Amino acid sequence: MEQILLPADIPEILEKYGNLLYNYPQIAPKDFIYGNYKVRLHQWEFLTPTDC
Amino acid sequence: MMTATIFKETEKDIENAYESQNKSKIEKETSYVLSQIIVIMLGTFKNRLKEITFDTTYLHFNEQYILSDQNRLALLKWLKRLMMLSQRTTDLEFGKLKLDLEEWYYRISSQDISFDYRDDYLIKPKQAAELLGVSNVTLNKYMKQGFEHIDTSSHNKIPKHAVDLWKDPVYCIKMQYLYQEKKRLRQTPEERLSEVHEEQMQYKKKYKTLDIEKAFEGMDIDAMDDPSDYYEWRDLLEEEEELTNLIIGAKNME
Repeated sequence: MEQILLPADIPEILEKYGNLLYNYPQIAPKDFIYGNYKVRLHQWEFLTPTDC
Repeated sequence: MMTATIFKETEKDIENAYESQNKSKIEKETSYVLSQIIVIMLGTFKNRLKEITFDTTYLHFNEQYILSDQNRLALLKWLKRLMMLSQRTTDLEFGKLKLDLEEWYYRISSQDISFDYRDDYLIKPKQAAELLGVSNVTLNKYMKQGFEHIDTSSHNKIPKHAVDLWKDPVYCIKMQYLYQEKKRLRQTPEERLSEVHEEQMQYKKKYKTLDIEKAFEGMDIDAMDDPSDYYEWRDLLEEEEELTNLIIGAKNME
């Protein structure tokens, strides 16, 4: 079955699954201890530590 | 603060408006809740906020969104938050309210809302970098990705809540998402292309070569501890190609 891929609803994803995300401010000075979000032309990239 | 009677009445009106799917009533309830948020925020947070302004004189709603169940839930949630607001709100809680209002306003209208802060609520980028435990260079990178800052010649340009929000895993992403989303809407492909070039230049400088293949020659990307530079650089090259095609195509069509 063909499925249409709808644009991701980031606020809704954050609302539903935000509890899985973590930041690690105590292990500075690594950049990616904080969540990193970048929009590209056809995709978005979401780099963040999680607890799973 | 909102009284319990008004809260209950408004809650009822919202539910009725959605039950009957009455567009005018839904618009009226949405406008009412929005104006209440602004009035209550300005009154409660006088020590942080000078004013809230809009980039339009006429509020035009996104019909699809405001009629949706998502907006019904958002309205009810805002009401509850307004009931609970107190003057002892922390910078973090204030920041969350501000960002959520910005996001909701963007959803209902696709427009911008601006917050003008009191001077003593702003700190220097250097102080913000220290509080986050990162260098000034890294903070600049964060600012390009959406770390809140005021476009001003003054040294104090970071609202205090930005630091706390950045430490919060959800709001850190939300801040970047909103900033980039709004920026992307205003940007032409040519402007984006120049940013893509600038970002690529950072990798070229870091790896001291023009070529991504040379930079990662002999490395097993999948086995790397942190392959993010490789993937980001590769994505930038792809985006460069797509943007160039778009620009050339657009010019050929003229």
